[in-house]
Amino acid sequence: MNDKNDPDFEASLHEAMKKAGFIFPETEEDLDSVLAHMDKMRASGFPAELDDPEAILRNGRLTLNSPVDDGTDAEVEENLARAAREGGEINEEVSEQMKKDRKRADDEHNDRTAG
Amino acid sequence: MEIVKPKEPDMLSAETDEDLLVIMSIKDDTPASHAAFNTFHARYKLFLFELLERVCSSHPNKKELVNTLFSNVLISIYKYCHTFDAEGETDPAQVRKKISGWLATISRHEYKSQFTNAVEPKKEQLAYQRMIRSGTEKPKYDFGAAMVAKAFEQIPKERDRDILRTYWVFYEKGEKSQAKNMPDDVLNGMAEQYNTNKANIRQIISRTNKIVQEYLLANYKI
Repeated sequence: MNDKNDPDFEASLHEAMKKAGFIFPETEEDLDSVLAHMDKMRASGFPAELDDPEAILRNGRLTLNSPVDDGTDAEVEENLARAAREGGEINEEVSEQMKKDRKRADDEHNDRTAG
Repeated sequence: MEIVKPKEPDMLSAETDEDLLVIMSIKDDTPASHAAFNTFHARYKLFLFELLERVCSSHPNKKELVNTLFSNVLISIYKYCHTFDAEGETDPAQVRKKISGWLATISRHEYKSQFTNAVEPKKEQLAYQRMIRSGTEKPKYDFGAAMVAKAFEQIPKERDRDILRTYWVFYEKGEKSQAKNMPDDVLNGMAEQYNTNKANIRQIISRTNKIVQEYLLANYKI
């Protein structure tokens, strides 16, 4: 098999993910494959809160409000440390972006504390 | 004045899927339109739920995300039901497949809109963009579902698995088969969703892609 930078590898992985239903199907073949998987693995149960179509119409479009509370700046440091341990694989773009993000976060923090 | 009672969903159980969508589109007759929506919901709720459950399976707010997408996709169906075109197909199984594909296409746009700060997907995406009839080319490597699932299991954090999965939802081939860069607004949306920053999102995508690729490279057998 070719190396991991092989663009065919990416396209193949993308195809496999669609056919397995890990991401949304885009072609009829993807859909056939997803439907076949669904026949084999039915979901355990259908939630009662989604079983009221009148309520769906009444409520209208919903917004996902709660962001995932699992990321901290410490993780950025951890990533930097990991990259350093593994041979400094942070490319310039990422490094530059991290600096900008950190500066922005500092500026926002300073604005808040000054205000 | 005659009082029209709302039609019960089972009154429409004999209608074809296409006719249901037509009845649903007659918004002047609210009871009939709602009844058609109720019957449509009964017919497609399991497919839609299972599709979303699978794609959102590693999202830390899975339940809320699935519920949000499920509702929004059906609201879009209600709103744009008049745009469905079975393209001359009359076989009920084939029409059902077309509608399933339409639901999947709308689901994909709804999922993406969660990361792009769009109030709702563009009308043309919902109404007109259909599933590609057939894949243009066969992939070079045939990774099975179980192998891909195993590769993703190598990523220790559930949230990181979800970030990578989201990356692949947005994946597009660019020139010479190279992946296009993720748009900035998507990275911003992801950073907001996962309560972190863009640089960290980039790092996680790069790191987790490497884990998946290394697993697949080591285990792929021609």
